[in-house]
Amino acid sequence: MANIEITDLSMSYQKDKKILDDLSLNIKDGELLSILGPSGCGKTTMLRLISGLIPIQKGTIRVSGKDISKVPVYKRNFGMVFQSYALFPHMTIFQNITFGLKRRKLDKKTIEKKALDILDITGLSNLKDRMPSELSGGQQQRVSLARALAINPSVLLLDEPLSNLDAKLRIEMREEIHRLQQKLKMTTIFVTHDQEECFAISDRVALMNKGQIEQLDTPQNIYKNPKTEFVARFIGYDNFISKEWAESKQWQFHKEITGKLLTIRPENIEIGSGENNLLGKVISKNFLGNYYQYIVETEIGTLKVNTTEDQSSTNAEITLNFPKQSLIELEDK
Amino acid sequence: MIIVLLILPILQMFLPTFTGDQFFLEKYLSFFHSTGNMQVIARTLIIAVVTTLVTLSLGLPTAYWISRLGEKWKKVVSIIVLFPILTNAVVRNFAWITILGKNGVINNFLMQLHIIDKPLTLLYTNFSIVVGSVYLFLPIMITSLVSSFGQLNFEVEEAASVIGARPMVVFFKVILPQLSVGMLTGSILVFVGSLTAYTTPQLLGGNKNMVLATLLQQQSITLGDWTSASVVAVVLTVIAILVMTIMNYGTKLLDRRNTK
Amino acid sequence: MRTRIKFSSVVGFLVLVILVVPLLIVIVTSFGQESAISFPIKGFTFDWYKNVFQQPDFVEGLKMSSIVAILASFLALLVGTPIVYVLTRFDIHHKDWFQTIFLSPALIPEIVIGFALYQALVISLQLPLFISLIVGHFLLCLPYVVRLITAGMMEFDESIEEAAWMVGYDKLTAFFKVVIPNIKQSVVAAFILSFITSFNNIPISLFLNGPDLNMLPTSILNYLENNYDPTVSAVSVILMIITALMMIIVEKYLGLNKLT
Repeated sequence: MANIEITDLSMSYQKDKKILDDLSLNIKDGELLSILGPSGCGKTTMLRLISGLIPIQKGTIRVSGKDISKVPVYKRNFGMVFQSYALFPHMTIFQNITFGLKRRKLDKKTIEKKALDILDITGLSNLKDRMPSELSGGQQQRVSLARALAINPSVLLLDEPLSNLDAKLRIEMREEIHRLQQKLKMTTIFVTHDQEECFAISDRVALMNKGQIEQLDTPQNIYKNPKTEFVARFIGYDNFISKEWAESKQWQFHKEITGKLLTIRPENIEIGSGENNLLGKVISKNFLGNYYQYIVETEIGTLKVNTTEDQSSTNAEITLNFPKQSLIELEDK
Repeated sequence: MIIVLLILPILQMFLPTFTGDQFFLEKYLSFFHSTGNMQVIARTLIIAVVTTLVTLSLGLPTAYWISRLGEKWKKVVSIIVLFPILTNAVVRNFAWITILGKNGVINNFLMQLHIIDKPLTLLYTNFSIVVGSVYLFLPIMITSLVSSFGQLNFEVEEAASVIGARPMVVFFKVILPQLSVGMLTGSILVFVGSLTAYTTPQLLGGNKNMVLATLLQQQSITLGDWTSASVVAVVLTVIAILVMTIMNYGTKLLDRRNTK
Repeated sequence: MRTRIKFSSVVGFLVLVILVVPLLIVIVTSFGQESAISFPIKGFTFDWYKNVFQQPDFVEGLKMSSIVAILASFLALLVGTPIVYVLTRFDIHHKDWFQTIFLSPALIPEIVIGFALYQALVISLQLPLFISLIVGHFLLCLPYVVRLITAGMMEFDESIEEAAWMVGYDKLTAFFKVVIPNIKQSVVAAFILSFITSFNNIPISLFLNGPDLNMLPTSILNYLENNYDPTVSAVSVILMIITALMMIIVEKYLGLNKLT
């Protein structure tokens, strides 16, 4: 299989607008790495550079130690799943899957066996003689995955593969991708803007912003310890507190704070007094199924507080407690 | 390749017309000085204008009618409209010779009813050129109007009726403005088409009623005066491109207004 | 609203009648026994159809027109398709500029194209007439090809082509194995429209024909100058049948709306 080393990758379409800015990243052999970020952060461009669909302007990409900058896209032997599935509309499912195999010098029997194997493990055997237009979105995406895997690629690239599916299918498909990836131990890069699907299946996540990686870590670490304000905001830390203000109120911290900004998740703020207190007024209360959300106006701005029990009501004056274990320090930018 | 095959020949045609003993526009000055030539230009333009107006006023109600037909009838009518477009212009003009000629359908009919006792001169007139051109270009106008009716939002019309606008007001104030782009597109095709058409004026206009295209043919093939023919060609090309540019610009302006 | 619908139905219906009746008259007159075209006809005969096939100009013209139309359409596709592919797929500077150049033959009056090509290719370069004729018809067809193929390429998802590269096909092979099969409809529509346009053309052929190089439409035009008998009606009917056949083929495989 393969590991990928990306060094100082830069890309710009116009002179002074960089899509990628000296980006470096190592992907381990057999790892599922997600590239997460808002639209326009450069994640798709990065995937297209790795795939070879667009040429590298600056920087290097090595796969298993070999520089692939000069290798044309059709010789890279990478599998790719597109957002629009991009099945060949004029071929049956079986032909779609064998299309890549026919390029490789294999005899007819081997091709057929390989294709049937892939159809089997992706659960598509009964659809093999259908045309793509006769399939549902979920089935088409399965075929797209099967087609990418059929050529036995050294790297699997997934470009927002789930974004055209409805919520239920999305979960089903991401489990499928996860299962196949674990089974085949294939180095996989998964581009998405959805943190939930990304956290669910990734070994590591690279969170991108403005052509750079803000944080590269396991899903757990990113969730528990966002490094920057951007990362914190992106994964749902809605409350920000300046250190200067907190110190002036003699708040307590579980360790020494060097950064200027602190953050806390809405569900970690408690209603009632405790070690770090702040007064506020509830300006709205929303019931969101498994929790209640309070929008609370305080002297440091509007904060979001989530609780499992109904603890207050609109217009109530309340005291909020910020447990020191839950306060997370952010790096200065 | 296009440059070699098209632009260069056009340039080669242009250049000799800009030479003269005293002045580079000499040949154009003498061309425009001739009353005969000016008549030809005027006739060409008038025929194109009249043809455009007639096709537009016949095309609008027709396209409106087609756009409101059910799927099945719409298809049948579209085929009837498309068929002439794809049929050779000689055939379509020839049909009008048999209708407008001295012993043609119309004259025969009127004489048999004793409305007239001498055949009318219908063929080889400006009138017959216009009739032929309208017949030639009407389907094209209808097709472009139908496609713009297809994009028309009929709910706007209903909304206007609901707030009490009278039918004619609705048509002129609500529907026509939405169609202006389609009308202009159709008009460009018809105007430029009839401006540069050769077959119709040749067959239905005869030798007396020259237009620029037939003049070009006469100067070159019949008289062998290639330089004069080039002048005619340049004049025709310039008028055609000028008209197209202006009308395209108009379409763009309207388009911008509509998307706002 | 009612009155307007009524009014437009009446006009629309009349327009349809006007479009159809002249062609019907031509069909009827082709069976008349009298040697001058008259309507209504006296007697019934197929002789004029026999006469069509006894006119070497018509028979040779039909052959030549078909050959030229097929060659020119084929060439236009051969040149036009890669051009459109490059224009739609690659980031090229001055894209609009190129687009205009490739559509430019449509801006120049056809009769001027014929005239300019005659001067440049036949007189100056001494190219054989047949080659010049093909060039002229190629230029005539190219804008249609560019327009239709561009529309086809726009509908085609770029990722599908990229998917073929990803599984191991170089760009050229992918173009033939994946792009072409998926824009096949546009290619066929472009070919048919080119064929019809070239086959029906007069103004370009007018300058680029000769004793051994007769095109059917110009042959009919010449015949009409000296004769006025139902042979022309008969050959017109034959042309209409060809048009109808084309339309049936297009409707069956593509749907007629592909052509407009």
